[in-house]
Amino acid sequence: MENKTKKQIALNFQILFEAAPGLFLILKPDAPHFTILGASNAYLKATMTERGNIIGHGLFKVFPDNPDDHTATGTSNLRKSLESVLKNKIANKMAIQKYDIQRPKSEGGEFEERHWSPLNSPVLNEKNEVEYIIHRVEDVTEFVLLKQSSAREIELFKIETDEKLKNLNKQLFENVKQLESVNKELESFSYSVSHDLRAPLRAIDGYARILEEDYGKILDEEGNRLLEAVQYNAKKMGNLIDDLLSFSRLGKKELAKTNLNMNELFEGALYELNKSITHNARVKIEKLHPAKGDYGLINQVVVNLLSNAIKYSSKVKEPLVEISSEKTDSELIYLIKDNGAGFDMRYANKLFGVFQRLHTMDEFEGTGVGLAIVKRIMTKHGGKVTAEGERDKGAIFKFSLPIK
Amino acid sequence: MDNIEVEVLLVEDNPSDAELTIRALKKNNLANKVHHVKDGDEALDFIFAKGNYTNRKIENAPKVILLDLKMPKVNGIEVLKVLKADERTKKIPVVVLTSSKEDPDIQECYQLGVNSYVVKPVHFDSFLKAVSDLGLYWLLVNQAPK
Repeated sequence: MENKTKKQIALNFQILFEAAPGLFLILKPDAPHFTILGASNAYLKATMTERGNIIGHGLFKVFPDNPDDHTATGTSNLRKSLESVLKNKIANKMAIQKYDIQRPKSEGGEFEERHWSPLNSPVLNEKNEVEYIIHRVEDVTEFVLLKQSSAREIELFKIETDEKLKNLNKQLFENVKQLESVNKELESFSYSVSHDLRAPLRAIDGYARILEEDYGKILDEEGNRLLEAVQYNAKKMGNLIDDLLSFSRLGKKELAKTNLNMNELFEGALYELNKSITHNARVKIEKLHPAKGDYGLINQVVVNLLSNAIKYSSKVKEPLVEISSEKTDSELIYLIKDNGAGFDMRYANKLFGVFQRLHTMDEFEGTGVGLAIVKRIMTKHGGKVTAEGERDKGAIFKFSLPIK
Repeated sequence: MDNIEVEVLLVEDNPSDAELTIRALKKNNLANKVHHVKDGDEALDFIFAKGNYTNRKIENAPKVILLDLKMPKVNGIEVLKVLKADERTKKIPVVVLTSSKEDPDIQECYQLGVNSYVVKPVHFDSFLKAVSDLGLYWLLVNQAPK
């Protein structure tokens, strides 16, 4: 009964071992041969071998290196690991190995790429000698290949992205260059247009003057009126060209920033305006925050906004223009408020366009370039200009400069 | 032609600019001895007494030449080049009177030895003043060679 049980158990172990869901080999510690004594079914399947063809054969005879892979280190690493197990009598876990497996001769006999994670562990007898070595492996080929291919994909993706980025950069660079040259062309175009338009205009103005000087006395009233209209329009066109010219020159101008006493700027502008136009507006200038900017350009902004406020309030009974400033964390804001004609907020977006006007020539004269110049100067300074108004209730223009 | 002493040689292809220039000179009584030629070719004929001007003498040089730059056939720069390269004419004061504010033009003219470079003012008033000022200066204030 006892014997029978033992025998039964031994038999069961053989079957159990061979059926174990893992890749196992039992090796004889007969270095350098390491004769194969047993193999699990799963091992046979994974290595495309048959039990009858490997049992009793040396491990390295059955599994040689792939002769086509000159960098193969599978056999030498495995041998080293097995020898270390013999020597140290403790298990040795190997790093993942590339160890290619040969197909059966019937299927061509070529080698297939395989990657393994092997563990070699000794089985000791009572005398503490190595009786067997259990060689257990896991087939990690799919995992390794997947890793390799995703690494390759990432590499490819990187190369592709790099290429795309380079192209985009190149395109951007070309666009910038193109834009620069277009800008330059546009500037020199508008400059020469303004300048070339000047010559005939000078002639019109000049001949009209000569006519007036030499024949003014002969012409009747209507003749003189017509002559005046010619001169008036020549002058107006001259102003338009002047404004256009200064607008186009703004593009070229480099900013020269200095500290600006804004009170001085507004008072200076008012002084000049008082000399050139007659008006009865009361102008109140509060104490203003000092600013930083290009003196000439900010002065232009001040002159344009102040003269606008005076011009558009000139038809009310008691024209009043108030200048003040505010300071926030990020910007300095200057306000120019008047109680004049104002404007319809629906057209506020048109205020700052070139040649855009919200009033007729009969109401208020102007070329429609002044506020476009203001806007361009503010943009160059990284600031902005806005306007609020209501018809016949005055307007507030605000320009702001960033604090840096 | 040969007997008349020319004080100002005006080289200008634009008839309006020429007329306005002459008028400005006239206002200062400087126009009596102005001769107007319409391009660089004619200017060189006049100065070197060739073509229609064989009766002239090179020695009777004008006191000043007012030279436009943009002209058909022979332009102002070419005229300047010839004048300043020739021993007989290099001392004649040349004032470039032009619409060109282009820096390369200005550089080249001075390189060639121009005596003055004036950009025609765009406003008629300023134009009038500029022409009479430079007329007065070159004819009355400035001491000519010889």
